Amino acid sequence: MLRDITVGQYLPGDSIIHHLDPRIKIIVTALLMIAIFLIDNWPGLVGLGMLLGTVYWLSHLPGIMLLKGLRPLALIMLIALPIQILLIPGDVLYYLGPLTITQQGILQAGLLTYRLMALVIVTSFLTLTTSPVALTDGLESLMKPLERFRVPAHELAMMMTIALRFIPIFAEEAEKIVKAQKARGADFDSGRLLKRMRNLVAILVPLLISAFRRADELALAMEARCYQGGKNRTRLRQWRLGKSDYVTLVVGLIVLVCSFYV
Amino acid sequence: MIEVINLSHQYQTASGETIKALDRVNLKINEGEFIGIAGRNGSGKSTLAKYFNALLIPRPGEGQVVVDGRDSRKSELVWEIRQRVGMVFANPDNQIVAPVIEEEVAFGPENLGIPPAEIRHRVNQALNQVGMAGYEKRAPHHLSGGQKQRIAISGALAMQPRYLVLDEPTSMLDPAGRQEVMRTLKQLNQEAGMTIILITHHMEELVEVDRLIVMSQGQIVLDGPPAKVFQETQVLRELSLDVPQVVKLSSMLRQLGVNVPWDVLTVDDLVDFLQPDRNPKTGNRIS
Repeated sequence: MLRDITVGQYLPGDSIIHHLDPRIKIIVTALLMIAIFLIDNWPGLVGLGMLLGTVYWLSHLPGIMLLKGLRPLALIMLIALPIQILLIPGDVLYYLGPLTITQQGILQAGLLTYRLMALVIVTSFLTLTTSPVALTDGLESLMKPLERFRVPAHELAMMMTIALRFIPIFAEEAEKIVKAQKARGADFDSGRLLKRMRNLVAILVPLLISAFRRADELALAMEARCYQGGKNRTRLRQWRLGKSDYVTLVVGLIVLVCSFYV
Repeated sequence: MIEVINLSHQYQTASGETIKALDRVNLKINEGEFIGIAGRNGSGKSTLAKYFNALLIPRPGEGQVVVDGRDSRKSELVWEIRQRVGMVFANPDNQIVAPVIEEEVAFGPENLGIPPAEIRHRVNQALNQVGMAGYEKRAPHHLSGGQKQRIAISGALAMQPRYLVLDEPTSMLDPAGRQEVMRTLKQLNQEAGMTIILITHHMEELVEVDRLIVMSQGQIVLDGPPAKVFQETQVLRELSLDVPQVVKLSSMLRQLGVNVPWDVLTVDDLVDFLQPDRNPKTGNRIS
């Protein structure tokens, strides 16, 4: 049912990767993403592959979840690969009418595939092993220094937290409204696209009104509990960097530095 | 002690009519009391509740509310008052902020700037007090209505208030959830000595309170122990407030000449009274 939907794709677990500090995970993910685009030779690519393999092994994630993440890539590849293969000039291997397949084209296409897959896998490691709440915490504390430049870090994090809390509620409510409108004869399943979209108004308007009412009540409840924004606020959960966090950060930095020179 | 002195509150409707939600209310609430406030919709009971913890501030000339010597009109005292007077609202879904239970209970203490170790201690304690220990890592939308409302109560308790104001906390719950919440409140009052102010229109729940206040048109009409208040059948009928079933039954029995005492409010009391070893006319034991 809808009440079981969760945001993101977090898979609870007990591995080293799961227990890493979310801030470190976010930083290292960013470092690796840069490295993925810099690396362009065989030793680098093999090294990167081995690194991803090691993380996969440490994370105890089911491989199927990673493959699922790769699925949307297939469509992009279907379009991008032929273009790469056919249009990049170089040493010709085959002639296909006016088009040519070149050695460089195939290599470039291979590299592109590898990079995109690595990119998806690295971000999947982050989202699969970090709960949305921890992710929000991590983002808030990473953005904290930006508050000096008037970036509302706490407010953004609070909005994300509230969104996480209310998504299942709205999903449930939308389901109720659909049933209620169907009982009154609304038709959401037939007709042309435009008509169907217009019928959606019958769901969206009540949902929106209820959202405003909920927001009003929530604001009151937050005020009653002394919420005054991020100032002087403490947090229950404290992230303290452990040995494995430092090791991870150092590995991330080494990979980035190597990717410049290799 | 919460003192409400000569408090009025008026507002204008869309059609320009002036409505007096509260009309010169005077009230003293002592620590340790279990108070019920009853009244029909629009009687002013929810407005009064919002004054207890400074969600509403008396306008000049419209009285004052003093919580443990702190006048809510002084803006620097507002946050202290809100910490002292915990508040629970009707809809559990619209007052739970965090997607994880322990973070929800920690929300109040976090706002007060309490050190993390102390917050952890308070979260454990507050969850214990409402019988929800072990649910720390769960998500609120997987709980029943009664459980959600108990989490909301523990969220208020984690701020370590002196008073707990509940504005129709059971109105959206099923009978089982209602009982859960009532049991929790009674326990808090008896074991932790928490002052509880319960606003409700379920008269059955008010049998449990020490002191029952009935409001109508922004004024306090009746104020006393439930056994006393329920004697005012005439007034209650005029306000079209339902009396608890047992009270109704007792008054019918009284008309038939059975001398049921006025403090019989629950089924158990009545059954006990109607035991065959009592003389139905005098209520005294025969033996």
